[in-house]
Amino acid sequence: MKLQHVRAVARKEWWHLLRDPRSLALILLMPSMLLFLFGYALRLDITNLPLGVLQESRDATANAIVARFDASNAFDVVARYTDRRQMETDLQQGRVAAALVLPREMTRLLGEGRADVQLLLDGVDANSARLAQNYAQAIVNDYLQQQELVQLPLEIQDRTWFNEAKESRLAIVPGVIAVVMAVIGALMTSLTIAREIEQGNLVMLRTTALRKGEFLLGKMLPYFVIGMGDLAVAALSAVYVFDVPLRGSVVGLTLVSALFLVVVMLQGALLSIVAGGQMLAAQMSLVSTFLPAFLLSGFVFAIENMPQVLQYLTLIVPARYYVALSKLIFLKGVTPLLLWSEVVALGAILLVLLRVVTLKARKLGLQP
Amino acid sequence: MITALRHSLIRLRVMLGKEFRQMLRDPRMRFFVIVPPLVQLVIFGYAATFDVREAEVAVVDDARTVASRELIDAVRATGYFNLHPVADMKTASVLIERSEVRAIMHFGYDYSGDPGDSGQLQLIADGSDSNSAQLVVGQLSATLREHLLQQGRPPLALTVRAWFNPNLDDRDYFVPGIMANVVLIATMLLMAMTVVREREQGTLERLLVTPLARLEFVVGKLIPVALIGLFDVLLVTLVAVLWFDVPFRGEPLALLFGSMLYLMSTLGMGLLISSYSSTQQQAMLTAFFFLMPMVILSGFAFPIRNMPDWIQAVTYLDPLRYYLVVIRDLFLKGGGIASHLFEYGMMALLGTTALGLSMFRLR
Repeated sequence: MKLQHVRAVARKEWWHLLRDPRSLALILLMPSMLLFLFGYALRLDITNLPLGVLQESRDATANAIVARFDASNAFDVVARYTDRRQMETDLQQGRVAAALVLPREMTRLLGEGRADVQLLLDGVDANSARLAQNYAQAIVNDYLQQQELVQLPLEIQDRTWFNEAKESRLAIVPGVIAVVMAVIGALMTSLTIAREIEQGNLVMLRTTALRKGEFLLGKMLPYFVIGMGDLAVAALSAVYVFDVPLRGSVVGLTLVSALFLVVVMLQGALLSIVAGGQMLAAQMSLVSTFLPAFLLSGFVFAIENMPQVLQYLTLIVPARYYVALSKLIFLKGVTPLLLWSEVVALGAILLVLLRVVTLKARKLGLQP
Repeated sequence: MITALRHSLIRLRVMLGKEFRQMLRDPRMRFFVIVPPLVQLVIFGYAATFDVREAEVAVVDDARTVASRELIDAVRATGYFNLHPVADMKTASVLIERSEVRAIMHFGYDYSGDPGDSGQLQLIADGSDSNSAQLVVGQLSATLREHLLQQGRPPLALTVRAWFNPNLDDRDYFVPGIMANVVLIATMLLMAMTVVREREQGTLERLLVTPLARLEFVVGKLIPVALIGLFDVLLVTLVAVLWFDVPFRGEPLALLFGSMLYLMSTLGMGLLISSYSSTQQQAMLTAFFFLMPMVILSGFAFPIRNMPDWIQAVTYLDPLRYYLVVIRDLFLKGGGIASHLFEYGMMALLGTTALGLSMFRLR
């Protein structure tokens, strides 16, 4: 392999990029723009869930309970009903996401120890409903505790490590970086190689002394540099804009990111060689990167919650390892060495892809 | 007039024939419009769940009393948690750092279980997945409280009932959403690439010298992809209902009509992107630039309610947002076209605007 050849291909690719300012701008800005948008937008925590209250008679206890719901961050009392039917219609049509039903003469019932409060939830969004249920239970427990209506022989404190405020943002931002990079990396490489194939430039290259390895390396090099730049910008904005703590080592994060970027770029290269045309290559790389990186990486949906068979399937999704690694490096401050299994897995995927790409690259018809 | 219309229809038919042949000539392309949507729906239908089952929990019992052991047994008996007793907090914190457990249950030395005494129990959750952390801790403390309140029930009980989805099954919520995403990805890219490919390969100029009118060109481009999209909707709906047992309570016609409007708006956007791009690479990158926010800001996994106001305003431009409301309600709540006039109207508006703009652009 001659460095000179690689450099020539890489330089040609640079020119291509510079001649097309929109593509260049998209490649450079897209990751940080998407990170900005998503970093602000994505919250799983429930805040100010619109709550309707059905209270058929005035009552001190009932008022106290309602006040506690209204004061909490999770709920926001937006409607008060005296008629059950109106409340049910509103819940059905989504004007309120939850409804609290308080009994008549609640103070008396509480004195007799048999007060019952009902919480009706719009269960369509099951996760928000589950979280709302937790918050509501906590509010009621607090009330009981403070009024000394129950006495537990045990004080239960709950703490959340690595993310004291339980903000979903902290967990989401490192994941967003992984998804964006998975897609951009694969898409960029697959499109540029597929274009050469589609436009027939490859035929001309066949008559030169260029080897297939040199061709692929030269094609990928500029995008690797851009990708690493994207990652740096994304990591910086995670820390400085979104206040995600970077507790682990920067070197570790850089090395792991580089490894991941090479893996997704090889994935893109493979798809483009198999596809042959840009349209199919684009379709294939989007299908094989975006939704898997979004849904199977543990970024949004924890892998441990999936059925066993799917958990095995996630083993071949490179983003899975990167999401785990970047979350751990950012939030837990663990050295990548403690996570050697993730690093080894990424390395193994890299080797397999490298082998398959070299085999498939024969199709390109360049010098071996 | 009538002859003009007939000629127009003939030209349209020729254009449609060309488009279908071009798109479905490549067997891999044929494969790609049918198989991935199905496979994706099945895989992601299982993957998309926030529900925590059998969470791994490390237990550090410094109290070592009958009472603490009873509590641990009570938690184990629920079957929701896999408990791993470990010797000390140091071991437990390594486990949580390596994400091998999601929470730690730590009994302090002072827990005797006597009613007068007040011991301490710490529940520590792994906040790097804040959603699961909240659910695990919530469920753990609910279990513990239930056991600790020996008299059976507290003087004030909260009963929770979830409507439309009594078991709080995530699948019923996510499968329709995944359906919308899968169809979007399968069709919008196809559309974004079509016009620009003609341009890149120089065949657009050849089409320009034919008597083909602009509208015929756009309709000829749109219909094949829209039909593929509708076909995909049909396939994935069948899988959702027959395989995942998601109930379908609404009117089938409302689904068809909604899907047509949805495809019109997403394909209109695809066409617009295509008409503003000069290379396929550009079109792809631009399409992707819009696609990813469309999916993530649609309310598919992250509730729109939680977003800041300015982003909520942006989501009004996202056709997926409306389609999600429509199909989730059609599947889970029932109803028909009349209950979602606003959503249908917005999709139609977005679609006609995008198509109008791209017609203008293609002059």
